[in-house]
Amino acid sequence: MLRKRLIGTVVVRQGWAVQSFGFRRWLPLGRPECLVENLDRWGADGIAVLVIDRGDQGPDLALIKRLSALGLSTPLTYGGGVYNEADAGAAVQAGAERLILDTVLQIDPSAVQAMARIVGVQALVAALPLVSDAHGIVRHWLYRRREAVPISDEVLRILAQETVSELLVIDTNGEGYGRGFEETLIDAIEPLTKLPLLAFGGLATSDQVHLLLNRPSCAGVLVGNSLNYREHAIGHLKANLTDLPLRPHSPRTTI
Amino acid sequence: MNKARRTVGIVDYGVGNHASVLRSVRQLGFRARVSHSIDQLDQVDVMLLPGVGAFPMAMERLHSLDLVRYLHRASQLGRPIIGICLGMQLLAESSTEMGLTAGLGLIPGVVEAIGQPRWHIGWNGLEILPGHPLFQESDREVMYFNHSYAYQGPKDFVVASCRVSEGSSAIVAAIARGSVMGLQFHPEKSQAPGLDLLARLIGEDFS
Repeated sequence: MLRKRLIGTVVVRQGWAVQSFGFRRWLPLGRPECLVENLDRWGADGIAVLVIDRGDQGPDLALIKRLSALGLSTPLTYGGGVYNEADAGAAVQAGAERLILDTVLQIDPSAVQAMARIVGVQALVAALPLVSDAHGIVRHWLYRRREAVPISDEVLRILAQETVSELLVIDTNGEGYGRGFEETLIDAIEPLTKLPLLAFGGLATSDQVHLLLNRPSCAGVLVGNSLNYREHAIGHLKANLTDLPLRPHSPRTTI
Repeated sequence: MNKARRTVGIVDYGVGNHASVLRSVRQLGFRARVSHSIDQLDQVDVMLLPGVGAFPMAMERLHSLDLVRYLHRASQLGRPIIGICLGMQLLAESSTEMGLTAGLGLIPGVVEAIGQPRWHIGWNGLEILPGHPLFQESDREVMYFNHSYAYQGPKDFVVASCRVSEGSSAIVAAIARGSVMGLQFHPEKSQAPGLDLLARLIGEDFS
């Protein structure tokens, strides 16, 4: 039976792993390699590295190569600066198993299909940073433009046509604060797609994670900041989630 | 032969991430090299065929490097070949991914879209079928999968399967024919259970 996933997440800005608060404020945590190595050792079900300041520079291939050189035995998903099939191919070649696509969904949706031809649909995850306004209306947060807009027809088409294999729903305002993920965002997205959902933002406690993983549509959660302050944080979370179909906790016993 | 002295050749045909596999194999204590040179691959004891991406492009690359004939010959000589993920699918006769493409045909069977759900992504437990002692220790072990096409073929060649949910159709997880073996999951990304199985397969003496 396919297990739900607890994915350790590292946000990177200006080359440093950072604690992010709503993608608006950041505190440096250290070298991404150290955090990623910990997540691998602690038995995360996956590791996601989100580089949030790539702009038009393309993916951070040097970082992916450095992470790959660590000899991770955990699947690595990379997001940041992947805009076309050459970027996608190079990022996978460098060591990423899967790619998170965000800005390209807005600026060049047709590129997603071209990427799928190179790396396969199963390697592509669409990211949808969302916010809900005072009236509860859910909008797509455009990181570059710092503005919230209705989800475009092009993005909806990608979700409907399933040219990606999973959808990462990001609670933009909750990210970094540990107050839990705003479930109304998932409520709004579920009718729009049959894609398995991943959720990121605001998740810190096992109760918060439980609420999401209990939903049939939710294949996994990405947990960021809270994992970095406690040894074997993955194991502690999983110990309180034994009623969910998660992989048994299996930290690496040797280094 | 001392198993630790066994040399693994990771077949480099320009598709996928060889660094992870190389690192894993070396961590297991084997010597390893990445190459598409027939001279170099001739020197290794076990060939690993990794792969990420789409089937047609991978076959095109193998043809362009003249590795299709080479792998056929190696298989006829009983040399161990282990395909991983897309590399396992390439061992089959054909795939319908992006149109019909002939595969290596080292193991009878075809590769077709999974159906519903369309993808098999994440961690899933193996059901090892009886009669495969090399794999038996991995029964019920949880491995990492990431694919949307899957092998379908005669039961004689199916070693392991798994299911997305209780009662759903089985997805083939591993195949074997003599010294040619295929793993649909990523042993190098499946932490200790995957690495243990990979070590057993590489260390097996087929001579």
